[in-house]
Amino acid sequence: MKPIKWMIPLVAVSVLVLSGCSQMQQKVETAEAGNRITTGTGANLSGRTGVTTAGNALRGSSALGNRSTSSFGGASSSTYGDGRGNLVNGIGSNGSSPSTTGLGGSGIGGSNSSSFGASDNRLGGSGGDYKVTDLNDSNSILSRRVIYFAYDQSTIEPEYFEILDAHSELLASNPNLTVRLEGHADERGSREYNVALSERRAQSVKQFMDLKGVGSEQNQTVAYGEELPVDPGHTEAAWSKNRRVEIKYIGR
Amino acid sequence: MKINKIRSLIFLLAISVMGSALADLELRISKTSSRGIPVVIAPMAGGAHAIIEADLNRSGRFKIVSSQRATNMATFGGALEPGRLKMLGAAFLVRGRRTGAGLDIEIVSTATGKRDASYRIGNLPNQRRVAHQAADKIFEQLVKIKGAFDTRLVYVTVTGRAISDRVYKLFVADADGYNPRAILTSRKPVMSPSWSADGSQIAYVSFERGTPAIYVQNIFTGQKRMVSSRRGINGAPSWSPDGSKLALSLSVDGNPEVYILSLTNGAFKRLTNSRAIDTEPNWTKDGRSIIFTSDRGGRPQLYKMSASGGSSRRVTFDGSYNSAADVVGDKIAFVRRVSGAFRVAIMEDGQRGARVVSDGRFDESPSLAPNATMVVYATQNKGRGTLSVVSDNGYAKQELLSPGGDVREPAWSPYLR
Repeated sequence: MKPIKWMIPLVAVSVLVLSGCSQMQQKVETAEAGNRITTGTGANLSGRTGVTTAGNALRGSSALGNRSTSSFGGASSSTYGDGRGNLVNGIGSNGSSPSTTGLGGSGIGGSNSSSFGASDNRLGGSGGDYKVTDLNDSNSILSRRVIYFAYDQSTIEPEYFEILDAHSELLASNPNLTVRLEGHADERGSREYNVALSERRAQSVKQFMDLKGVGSEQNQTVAYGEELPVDPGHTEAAWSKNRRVEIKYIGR
Repeated sequence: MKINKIRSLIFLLAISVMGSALADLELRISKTSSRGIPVVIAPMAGGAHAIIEADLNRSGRFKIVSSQRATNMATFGGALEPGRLKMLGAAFLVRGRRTGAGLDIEIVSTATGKRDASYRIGNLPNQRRVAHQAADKIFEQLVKIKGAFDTRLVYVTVTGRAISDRVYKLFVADADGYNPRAILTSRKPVMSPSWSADGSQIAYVSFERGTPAIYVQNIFTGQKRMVSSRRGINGAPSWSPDGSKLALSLSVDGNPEVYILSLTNGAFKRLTNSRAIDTEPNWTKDGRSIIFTSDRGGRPQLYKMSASGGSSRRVTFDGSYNSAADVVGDKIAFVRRVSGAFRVAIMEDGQRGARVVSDGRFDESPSLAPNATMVVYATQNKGRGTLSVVSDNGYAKQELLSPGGDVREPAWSPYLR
């Protein structure tokens, strides 16, 4: 009897370790510290709520211009913004904060110019008048419910202000409506740390909405970390789809 | 003699059934140690020698000489010719004998021809465990460190590509991947399993209810209870050495902080207080300190603080990303970013230097064996999640692959009791 047979799966199979691939050396650019969004309480132009945010993004010269240069390193470890990468809100600065919109433009760099035009130009979000039924309208901006983030960042990019303004307006004028803000991260780094990162993203969106007059009970956050990738691939293309906050209307 | 043969036949059948039908993980040896103590394990009825060989090889502390070379001197207790012993090319010859009571093992020094030690391993329902226990005895005799082959792993598997198709399972298996048993199946993410100190329970995070909650489950009875479902994150449970507490991360106070949860009275005690992320706590062996991940300095790094609170001090200084510590004895295994890749590193508590022991791009969730001589971690092979076991000296490496789906988040059990 040959007691060897069962151990065939044990037989050594050399596996070539793809260490070559992993040696991608990336030169990481250090970002300026000004990579943050300041949501100021602008002039009280809107009578709707006390808080009016004009979505004035003050962006310092950021590392955005470098982003296209690499799939892995360009964003990695570079842009940490204020260290927290959080939305910095300037409530209380009362009128003195810049109330004209627009992105304090300099610094955005050519790479991202498309996001420029999409940003919110309405003061206080006054022009909305969204209806709950618009949620079912695929042509409405309300059908856009995913906010994407740069690597290791929880700062909301200006291109998403318009979407968030629309949802905020709908929620603020319909206090019975509730959303779940589901934060996600890409697969890089440790899992529980990514849960925490994804919560920061969801909190950024929540803070944005709260500033726009959405009731705090209307938007709870859930942090999924890297557990629910939309794209299970292992490239920057996949990762950029996975770093996101999804706005989920509850009961709809 | 005849009875012995039938016995070995039954033994062989038992392990081949377990090996084929239930082995969800496929074992591959990707790196065999060429250094270490040269040892030859003589063929044993039922094939226990192969299990012992694989175990010793995994530790990175042995050079395994083919058992075929000892075929003619395999009889337990049999006379040995000094000249032929020296021809083996090994410092030690191990021989075994199946008996009604279990497995007898002897370790013979090839230099002297004398028996250095012998052991009787009692029978167990899981026959592979008998061989693992023999390997533990050999390891301890020759390396002078308690063996940790007769231990278990818990890990998470995920099948299904689309989010709506995904099925998450929590498996408990022998430390070499055999005898896997699903202890939990869920359509929602399951994360961060952690062993109780007595090896009977697992704490884990489940999103079953839509929001994360921490559960504690007995691996034998399946009985489970929810122990934390606060608002926000309920994550990263880690069982205290005395079994009475969990360290965990909660964001109920606004951002992730490390807490201690008493499992006896359900009370939460907050340990950290920073505006940063504080998560992934892990206990030191004496139960007096917690090592955790925090980005209070701008980047994730490891910090250490008393388990009763107070100030913390930074543990890692090299690199821009150090996280997910697992502490066993004086060793800390953790994730470190190296040139854009995430790798597993091991350092001694109280020292600065660390050794990177893995070579993948997405290595994570390191967990040390209870004797800290090996570390299991999650890695990727052709885009699929697999587990790897590497010796702390980096000499030996094995992979545990799942035929379908991803395997991730392994946690190595304590010594079994």
